[in-house]
Amino acid sequence: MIDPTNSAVAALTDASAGSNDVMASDIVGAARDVLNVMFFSDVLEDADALPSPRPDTLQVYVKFDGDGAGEFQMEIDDSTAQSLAGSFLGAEAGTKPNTEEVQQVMGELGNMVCGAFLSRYERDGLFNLSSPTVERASAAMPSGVARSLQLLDGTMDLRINWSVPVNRQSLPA
Amino acid sequence: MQSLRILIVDDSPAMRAYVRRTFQLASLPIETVFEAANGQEALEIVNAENEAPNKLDLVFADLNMPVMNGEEFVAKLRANERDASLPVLIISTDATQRRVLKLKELGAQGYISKPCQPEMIRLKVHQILGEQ
Repeated sequence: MIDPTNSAVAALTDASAGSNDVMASDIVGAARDVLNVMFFSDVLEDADALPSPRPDTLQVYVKFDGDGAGEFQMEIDDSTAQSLAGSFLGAEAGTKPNTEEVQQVMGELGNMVCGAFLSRYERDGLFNLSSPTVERASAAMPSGVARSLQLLDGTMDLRINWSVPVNRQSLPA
Repeated sequence: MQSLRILIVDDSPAMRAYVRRTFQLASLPIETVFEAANGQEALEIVNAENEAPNKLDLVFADLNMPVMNGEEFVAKLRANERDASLPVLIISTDATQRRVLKLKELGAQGYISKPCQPEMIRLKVHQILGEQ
């Protein structure tokens, strides 16, 4: 005999898993677009996120609200961050961006990937993004839909946590 | 195209540097580049430059900024008759259709979604200034 309660839970779990797959795919797609166009880099492969915090990394946080609310998180190796910042700023060969420049560019990278993700995931939504926070990795990032990206330049982990999921029925047709 | 006097409004110094660099990569003739970190600072620069012999030709503005965001900036700019025709090009990560429509209604002349290549910026600048 089928337990209707268990069936309902199973259906919800399936739907959630499907939604998480879409989110994971959109996170990777958003990162690839931003890295290709503005950082002269690319995503070679993606996998389950690595344990956080990793040593010698920066963490970037961008909060968003509007037709849904949550937080985007990025954890990136120092060497990867420096390489990407140099590409973004057009640094000449042999010169390296300073710590402040690297942090500013990583904040912008987090902002762009978060915005590109939201535009992909919820095309009809309206969201407001906070200014990014950039800091040395010290605490584990909260769990969520997460992917670890292997780039031409190194490793970057991305996470999305929704505190208020999008209610698609409230969006304009 | 004449040499341009341009204002870049973005709270990210890195993004302001990127936009400045794309002007060179896109071979846009630039006379002066002004920078502001939010809409409030941008309004102050627009007001000051209104007194200058050569006025601003174009404003590039981000949307999400502290103090005064891009939408408030465009709305306040358009509320002042003297600045009603100053072209504003929004550059933002938010490319949702509702946002773009809202910005058009407020009076922004153009919209570029990040990530964007220098060629896109060049095309939009020519499109907007060519329309005038």
